[in-house]
Amino acid sequence: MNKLTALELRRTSLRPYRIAALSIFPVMLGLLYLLASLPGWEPYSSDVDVLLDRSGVTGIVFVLGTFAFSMLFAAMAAKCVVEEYSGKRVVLLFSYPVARRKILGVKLRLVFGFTVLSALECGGVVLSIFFLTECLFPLCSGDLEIGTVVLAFLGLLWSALLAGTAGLVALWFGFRRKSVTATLTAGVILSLLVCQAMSAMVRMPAAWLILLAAAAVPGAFCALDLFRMAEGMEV
Amino acid sequence: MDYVISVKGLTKSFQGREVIRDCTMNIGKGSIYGFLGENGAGKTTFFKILLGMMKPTAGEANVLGLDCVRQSPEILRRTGSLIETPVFYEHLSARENLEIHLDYLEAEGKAEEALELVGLRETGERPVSEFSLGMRQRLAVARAVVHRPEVLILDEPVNGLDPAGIHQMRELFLHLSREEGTTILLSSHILHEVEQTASRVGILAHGRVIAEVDPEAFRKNGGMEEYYLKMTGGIRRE
Repeated sequence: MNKLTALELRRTSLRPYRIAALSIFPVMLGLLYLLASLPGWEPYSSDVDVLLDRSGVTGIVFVLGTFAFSMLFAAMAAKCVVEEYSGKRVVLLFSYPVARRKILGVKLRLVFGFTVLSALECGGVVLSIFFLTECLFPLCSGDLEIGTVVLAFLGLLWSALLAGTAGLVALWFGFRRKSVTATLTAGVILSLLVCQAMSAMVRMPAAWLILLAAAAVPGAFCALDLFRMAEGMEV
Repeated sequence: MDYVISVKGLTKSFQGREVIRDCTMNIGKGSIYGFLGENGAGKTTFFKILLGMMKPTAGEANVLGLDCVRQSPEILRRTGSLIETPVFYEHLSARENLEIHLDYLEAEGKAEEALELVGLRETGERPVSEFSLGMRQRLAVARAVVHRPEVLILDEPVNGLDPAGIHQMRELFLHLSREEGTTILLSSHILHEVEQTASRVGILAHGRVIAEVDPEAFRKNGGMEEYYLKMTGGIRRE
C-alpha cells in the first residue's frame, strides 16, 4: 500500500461503509434461500420458472446485490470525493503539495476497491454457504455441477465490477454538480438501468461480461474526465 | 533586495469581472505584511493565487522565487497557510490532524511543539469535533506553522480568538518573524492588531493595492482606523 493510500485511510473512517456492507450480507443470504425455496411452495406456478435452477436464483440475488453495492459506492463516493471537492474542504485538499491527479486517483481506487471487494466478499460467502447446503440438503432440483458453481462465481465477479462501474458514472454526475444529492440520485437511476439489463440475462450471469465491457467505455470516460476536472479546479 | 513574495501586474477575473486588478506588491524576507481590505476586496483570492489554488488571469506572482502557477507544489511545501474557515478531520485529535498534515508535506516537525505554541497542549486525544471556534482557529495556526515554513500566508488568523488568544498569536508571529526569519503575509479586520504586528501594511480596495505604508504613517495620520477609512472611502472628511 503506498503512502498516499495509507494517509487516505487514516483520515477516512471506513467503519460506516463496513457496517453497510455487512448489512447487505444477511439480506442477500436470506433472499437467496427464500427464492430457492419458492418453487417448493408453489410447484405449479409458471412465474417461478426462473427459480427452478441455481443459476437463475443466484442471478436474481446478484442483480439485487449489484443495486445495493452500486448505491454503497455512490454513498461512499459522495462522502469521500464529492464532499471533499466541494465547499471549504477542497482548500485543505489543495493545500497539500501533492499532484491533484494522485490524490483523486487514491480516492477513486479506495472507493472502487472497497466496493468491489466488499461485493466479492459478501457474495462469495453467500454463494459458499448456499452451495454447501445445496450439497447437503438441496432446495433446487437437479444435481449441483461444478460448472454451475464456477459460472456463479464468475457472475459474482462481473456483478461486483458492474456495481463499481455504475457507481463511478454516478460519481461523475455528482462531481460535475458538486452535489451529494446528485451523486445519490444518479446512483439510483444508473443502478436500476444496469440491474434491468442484468435481469435480461439472469440465467447466464457469466454473460454479464458483455454488459461490463459496454459499461467500461463510459466508466473510463468518466474516470478520465474526473481527473481533468480536478486538475482544472479553482477553489 | 530579494523579495520572498513578489507580485507584478496581477489580475484575476471571474466571468469577465475583475476581482483583482493590476496589483503589484513586494514583501521582503522576515517581514510581517498586513493586508487590509473590506469584505470581498479580493484578499482571499490574492492569497489563493499565491498558493497556486487559483490561476491569475494576467500578471505574475512568485513566492520564494517560485512561479505560483507552475511550481505550486514546491511553494506549498515551503509555505504554511490558513485560508478561509479552517477545516479538519473531525474524528481525529488535534495531534493526529497535525501528523497527517506533516505526512502529506513529507516534512519534519513536531506536532506537540506546534500545539504548545498555540496553547493547545492540553487538548489530549479529544476529537476536533469537540473543539470550540477559538480552539479550531488556534489549531489552524498550529497546522500552518508545524513544519516550520519559510513563509506564512494567513487569512484572518485571529478570527474568533479571545483577547488572550489574540495576544498569544501576536507574540507567536513576532517571534517567528524576528527569531526565525519567517516572512508573514496576513489579513485581518482587527486594525489595532495589524498595527501592532505588521512592519508594512497594504490596503486593497476594489481589486487594487491603493496604498502601502509603514505603521508609523498611521500614527502621523490620526491612527490606523482613520487612515484606513479615508483610503477605502469608508468615511468622507470635510
